[in-house]
Parts: sequence; structure tokens; C-alpha cells
Amino acid sequence: MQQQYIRNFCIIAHIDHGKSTLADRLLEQTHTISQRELKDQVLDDMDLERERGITIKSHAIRMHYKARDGHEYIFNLIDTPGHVDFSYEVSRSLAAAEGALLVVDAAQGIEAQTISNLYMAIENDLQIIPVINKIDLPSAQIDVVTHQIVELLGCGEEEILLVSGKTGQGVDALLEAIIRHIPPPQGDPDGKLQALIFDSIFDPYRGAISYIRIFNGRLNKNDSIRFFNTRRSFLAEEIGILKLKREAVNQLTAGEVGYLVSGAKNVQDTRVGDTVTHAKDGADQPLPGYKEVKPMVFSGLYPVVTEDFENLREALDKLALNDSALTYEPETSKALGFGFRVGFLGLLHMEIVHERLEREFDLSIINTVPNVVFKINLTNGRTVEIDNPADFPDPVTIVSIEEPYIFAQIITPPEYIGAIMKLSTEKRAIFKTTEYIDPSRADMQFFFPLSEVIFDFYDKLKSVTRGYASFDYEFDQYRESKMIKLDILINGEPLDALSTIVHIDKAYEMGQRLCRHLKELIPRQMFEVIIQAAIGTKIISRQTVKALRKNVTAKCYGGDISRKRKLLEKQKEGKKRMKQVGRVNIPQQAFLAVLSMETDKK
Amino acid sequence: MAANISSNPGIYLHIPFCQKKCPYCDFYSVVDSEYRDHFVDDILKEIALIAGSVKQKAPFDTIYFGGGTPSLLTVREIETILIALYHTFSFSATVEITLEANPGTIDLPRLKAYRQTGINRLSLGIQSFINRELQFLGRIHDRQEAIQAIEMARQAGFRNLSLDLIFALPGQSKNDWLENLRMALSFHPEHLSAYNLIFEQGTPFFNRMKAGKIIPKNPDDEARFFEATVEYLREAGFLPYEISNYARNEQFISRHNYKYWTHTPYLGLGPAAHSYWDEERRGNVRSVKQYHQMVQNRRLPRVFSERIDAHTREFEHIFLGLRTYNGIDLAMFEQQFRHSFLNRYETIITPLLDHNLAEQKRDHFRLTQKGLFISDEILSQFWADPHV
Repeated sequence: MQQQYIRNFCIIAHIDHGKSTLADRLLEQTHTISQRELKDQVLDDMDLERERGITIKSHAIRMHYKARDGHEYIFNLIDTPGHVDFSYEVSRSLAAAEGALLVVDAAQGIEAQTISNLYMAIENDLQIIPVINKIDLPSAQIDVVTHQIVELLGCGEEEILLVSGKTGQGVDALLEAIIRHIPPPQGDPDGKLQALIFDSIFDPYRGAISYIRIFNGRLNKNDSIRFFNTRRSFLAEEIGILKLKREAVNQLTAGEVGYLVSGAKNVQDTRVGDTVTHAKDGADQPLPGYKEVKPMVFSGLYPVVTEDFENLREALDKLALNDSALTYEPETSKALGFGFRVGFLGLLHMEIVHERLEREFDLSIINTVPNVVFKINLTNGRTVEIDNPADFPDPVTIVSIEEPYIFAQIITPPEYIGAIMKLSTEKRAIFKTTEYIDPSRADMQFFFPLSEVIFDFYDKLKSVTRGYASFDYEFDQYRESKMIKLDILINGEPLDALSTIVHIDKAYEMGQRLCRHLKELIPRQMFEVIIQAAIGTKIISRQTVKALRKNVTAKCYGGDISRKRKLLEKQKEGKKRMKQVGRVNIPQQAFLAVLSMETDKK
Repeated sequence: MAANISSNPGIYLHIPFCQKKCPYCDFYSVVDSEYRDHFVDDILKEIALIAGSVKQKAPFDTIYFGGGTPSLLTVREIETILIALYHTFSFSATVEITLEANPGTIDLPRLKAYRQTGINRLSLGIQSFINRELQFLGRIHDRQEAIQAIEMARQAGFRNLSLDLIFALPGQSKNDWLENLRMALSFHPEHLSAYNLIFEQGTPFFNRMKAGKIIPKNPDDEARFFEATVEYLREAGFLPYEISNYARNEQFISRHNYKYWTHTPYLGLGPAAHSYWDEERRGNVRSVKQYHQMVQNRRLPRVFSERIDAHTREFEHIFLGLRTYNGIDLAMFEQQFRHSFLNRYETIITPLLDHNLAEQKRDHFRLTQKGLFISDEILSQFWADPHV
């Protein structure tokens, strides 16, 4: 395989900017896939992805393109996940390519996520081809968007391609541009093997399947191989290229993109970003850029039915086969019994895991309030990291507390700058800069406490900017903050699963709002339920769910008895969805009350 | 003076005909049916069909004509049915025979004649003494006819008279309701049934509620009506002996209805009638036409039967028993189910006792008035899934 006829590229786009449709069109025009085979958005194949309209995991596909110069080229389109929770995976997909199509919606313009991915692509030395998509839309503002792109990239207007993924307009020119502008791979086919894992999936029949990009050397079927960072050795049982289906080959050489089945049992062994080399006579160095993805957000997951604990463990084991970012260890809650403390990349990741546990494993799960990892400096000179409010030390032993901050970028039409500033202040943000991309787009930069961002920030941002602002973030550093533990008591007993660590200035309001909201979420029951918020021993808020006064079947005679019995049985079944804490039945969603508080306006 | 409660079996006859359907009622009944004329013959056929399979361990001591509108049956028809029953089964000498009657369908001679057939308990569907409420409920009678019906019942010689009333109608004030109760008591009935209006699925009221055209009272208000009822009738000397039933004294408890709550066997005859017999719950076909065809073809009109296993029986025993003022007889429970009620259900019972929702009186465990109002919430807890 001559590298000069290979082009490896990604597409950078905001959600809904038509990345998948455009990708489908490329597949169609290169005859990789027929119209008939073309399901909508071929590249997204998980149900959840389809429903949420986002690509969670990246994939790759190879196309053959007969160019106008008469040569046949191999294109490897490497798809990238589209959510900030998965930004490391995005960075590795970008690292596997030489170029990127920057796809911008002609009606929507540039968004924050696009910009952050673009910067990531530039950092990876990718050649950028700017593309304005959806030019067929009546609301297309080609001039405005052209201007934005010119400002952003410093490119010439004439370099920007105009396409419509929907009609196929401009796609031919795009294919040619890929050949002209994106450089071919430059690796040494005779060098020592270095292949980058840019994605790993779990297949129930084959084990872990890694998507790889060969940078140097050759990988043959049945070679003994080694993964640099996990230091594990395997056999290249099967290698191949990625068409619509996997196609086995005997050799992959420098510049190529393909897959590797190595006998690794799970994706923990085949981590994204790791380098594959030969077990004997391997490369001295891994490819740069490997990072162990660290969960940012932690939450307790508990089965509603105590007996499901082992089933939950099995389910998490299975999910982890396919999700190297998922971490979990058993923990115990006084209120909820046995469960797991689970680490997630972000809230979306958390929601996805929760949903998959319920949907694919038929479990009823209580998800406790998510929190970040705090560093607590103690009077004895030690520092502890806590990912669970239950582990919050006695306040008298605390010297100071540090919390993680993120660097955040918000792209917004200028009219919302005021609202965003106000929201950011509420969220304890440190303002950095505002720059104008063009007169209709401002790029605002802040440092936010991550803990503020995981609670309702994204929804609030959407609501104050009517959906026009986009948001992206990355971890920055730990900073000192005045944090305290806020407890919730139910009928006088602390419910550990509802404890949160909050900033001292917000504790009072948070306690009040949380109590009010819990009052809405906890149904009336046989006895009065008293909900209190407390800091230490001091009660700062109190609400009462009054006892149920009437729930009775007035008539119960001869013909009613079977029916009535079944109704009572059903009623009991319904209660199973709730967790009994002491004598109080608490519905699942109450444990995530903090996240849904916004619906409860004063 | 012994309580009018017995463990002898009873007979229920469902008379599924009405002049007009009431929009809140979900009992099975039809208007202007071509099968009306065959009805008594059909009932006789059903009696003949089951006669062989009914092995009586004890004589029946109640017969209950329910509906529908049983007072649409002529005196002759009632006589015919009673005679057939007497010929087929054995009865206690003091059998209690109840007829449900609609105030809009009766006159004095008819009531006198009913009394002559042996009917000794009359249950009048008064529902309200307020015309506006009667209209809302779609009743065929008005206040005047309600009053006359009661007076005529007395004149006809009914010494055991029950009045049905409905409360918590949308827009009804507590005073409206207390006025209804006061009126009812002015006739010194032996028994009262006071029902919280229920929006039963499939009824016109239910549909109107779903469409937002009727807004039911909120449960807290309903609870206040309930409380007021209990308080008012207690003060007037009545015994609240079941969630919706009140007797002047224990002697006037509805002997027949009480069987439903004590797991006492009963035979149900007629379309849509239910039986509890030989540890089975059975139901007849809910169609006069099919009922007619089946019995004429000498087939049992039964479409539902369910064997009650020990586990289910125990749950039924609890949820039915706890509807009543006697609650659960602890010794009897242990004898029947071979374990102690208090031990087996301790985790459920303790909080109930702590919060004054239930009480233990001598050898009985029962719900308090406060507990009765939320009895569905309480009773469902006693269901333990046998598969777990």
C-alpha cells in the first residue's frame, strides 16, 4: 500500500450540523455503500446514540475513491464522538488522522464545541478543510458563516467549500479537496511497529476489538504484540480493514487504519490512546499523548431491590467491558444498603450508564447525587481526596478544601452576554475573557467550579440563551474553596444518599430549595414525612409532606373482591419502584432531586 | 342482643335491569332488554343447573336481590324465584331477605305485596334528598319521591330499612351532606350506607372526569366528609361497622353483606353475579343475552373462576376483615392459617399501632377510623408476593 494514495481524516462538527448525513453522502459517492444499504446515519449504531442523536463512540470506515487524476485513493474517515464528556476520545481520533473537515451548519454558524475540537485538531497538526454544510436550507447564511470561518481559521474565503449533505451538492469538490489539501501519511513502513488505538469496542464473541492507526512499521496477522501502557502482550489473532463490515487482511502497514482482535477480554486492556508494538523487537517509545481517562463525576448506584446487588455488579462488569472510562467499587449506604460508587466522565456519561442498566439489564437503579472529587487538607498535614459526601471529614479537622475547576468556553450571540455573566456569577465562575469571533458571535471564557457545572448549568445556559449558546470545557486545576457538607434528614434521620458538598455561600439556599423540591417528589404516605436540611447539627430548612388522609375503596361487595385484590397487589408492586428508608417510601427520582430542582421555581 | 353476623352461606341474585342507567354506576345493568321477559325463567334454569353441584354444609340464611333495579321485578316474579330457591336448597328459619328498591319504581300496594313474599329487609337507593344532587346523579326520583318511598316502606311493614346515600359530590358542601344525613336520620332507619362517590372506569362520570368536565373533590376534602359522616352517625347512636356501612345497632348489620368481609361462602345467581363457593371465586357472564343462551342450552353461565389458594385466602381474609369494625379475630386467624397474625405481620403492624392507624382490642386487631380512611394504602402492604 503506497502511503501517497491514502488520506486519513475526521469530521469536526457540532451536534446537528449534519456530520452524519455528510458522512453518508461520502460513503455513497465512493460506492462504499449503496443507497439501499444506507440507513440513516450509518455510523451511529447504538440505540441510545440514535435516540439522543449523538455519536457516543467513534468508528472508522474505509472508502475507495477514483480521483480525477486517475488514481484510486483510500480514504479512511474516522468518526469522532460528539460530546464534551468524551473529549479525550475525540483527541485520539484526531491524532489518528492527518486532516479534518470542519463542518459548520450554514444556518447555525460556529459553536463552542466545534471550536474546541478544532483547536484540538490544530494541536494535532491536522490540515483543516473548512466546509459549510446545509447550504440548501432557506435559512442558510453563507456570508455570515463564511466570515466566521475566515476569522477563526485565517483562511481565504475561496478555501471554504460549500456543500449540502442532503442534496449531495458540492460533495464531488469535497472529495477532490481531501486529496489536494490533506497530506498523505508520512510513516516509515520499514520502521518498528507503532500503532495508535483510537477506539476500542467490546464484542461478545470476539472480546475487545481495537480500532488502530499504524504510524510506523507493519502489523501481520498472528504477530505477537504488546500494548505499551498496559504492558500486556497478546497475539494479533485477526487484523483487518473497516468497511461497512470488518474485512480481515494479512497485513496492515504504516499509514493504514484498521482493526485488531487480540484476544484481550475487555477494553480495559486495550485502552484508547495506547500504542501497539511488537512483543519482540518493538518500538522503544510509545506514540505521544496517552492519558488514562479519569472520571470527573462520582455517584452512588444502588439497586432499588436489595437482592439485585449482585445483578448490578454483573451489569457493571459487562458495561465496563465496553467502557474503559467507567470505574466502580462497592460502597455501603446506611439508607440504601449495598451499592457502588461509580465514576463517570460527566453527567451525560452518567445518564447513559443509568439508562443502559435499566434498559439492557432490567434493573431499577437509584442514582445518588453526583459530586466531584474534593481534596481536603487536614490539620494533621495530610490531604485526602473524597468522592463521596459520606466520607467528608469532621469539620474541625479540616484546614482547607480544594475543588476542581474547569476551563470553559461559551460561544454566544452577543445579546446573551449579560445573561451569561449573571449565570456564571451565580455559578461562582472566574471570568477570563470575551472575544468576538465576528459581530454575531462572542467567545466567552471562564473558569468554573466543576461541581457547579454538573448541577443544572447546561440546562440553565440553554434556557437563558434560548439555546443559542454552546458550551465546552476541559479540566483546569484544583482551587481552594469554602465547602461544607449539607445533609438531608428524613423524619429526623440523616439520609446519607442525599448529602451534598456545597459552597458555604450557597448552602442555605440550596438546603431550602432541596427541601421544597423533595416535598414535591415524595408522595404522601401513611405518616407525615418531615424533610430537613442541616449543616452539622444546625437545621436550616424544614418541609412537611402531610400524611395521606384518604385512600379507600368505598364499595367492596361480592363481585368486587377479586378485582379489589388485584388492585391492592398492583399497588404493592408500584411501591417496589420506591426505596423504603425507615418507614418512608422514597421514589427513585428523589435521590437525584438536586438535578431536577430547576423545575421548582419559587 | 347478638350481632347479626353468621357463618352460614348466603344467596345473591343480580337483577340487571334499570329504567335508566345512572352515570356513576358500574354495576352491570341494561335498559329495555328483550331478555327481560325470559329473566325469571332463566334464573330458574340456572338454579336447576347448579342444584346438583351445590353441596350445602349449612343452610342459607340470607337472600339478597341486588341490581340493577330489583324493584322492577313483579311480586309474582319474586315469589317464583323464592319458591324455586326454597325447593332446591335448604334455608334457615330466620332467613334475611333483602330487596334493593329504587324510590322511583314503587308504590304502597307493591311494597305491601313484596313484604308478603317474605322480604324482610328493604334497601332504598335514596342517594340524596337534594333535587339538584339527584339530577346530577341522573336518578329517576326526586326529593319528594324519596321521602314518600321511606314512609311507604314503613307503612308496608318493613322493620329493617336501609337507606343508601352518596357523598363528596362535586360542588357539594359539607352542610349539604350533613343535611342529607339529618333527613335520613329523621326516618329512624335501621341501617345506612354512605358511599364516597367513586369515578369508576367505564362509567359516563369517569369519562366526563377525564375530559375535565367534572372535577372530583380532592382527597383531603373527601376525608373531611368521611370524618364528618362517622362523627355525625356515631353521635346519633349508629355503629360504623364497615367502611361505608352503619347500623342502628349490631342487630341491624347487613347479615348478607357482612359475609363478603368474613370469607363466608355465597352463591351468586343471574348475569354478572359472583360466587364464593368451595374455595373458588366464580363469576357469571356479564351479558343478559349470553346468560340467556347459556342457561337455555343447559350450560353454566360461568365465565370466571379462580381457585383461592391458602396464600391468597390469607391476604383476602386480612384485607376484607380489616374493612370491618371487628377487624381480625386473632384466635380465629391463627386457627385458620396456622400462624399468628401479629407475629407474621409485625413489621407492618407496629408502625400502624404507633401512629394510631390501628388498634388491638382484646382478641381483635382492627383499623381505627383514621386507618380506615387510608385503608388501601395500608392493606396493600399485607400482600406478600408468594414467588419471592
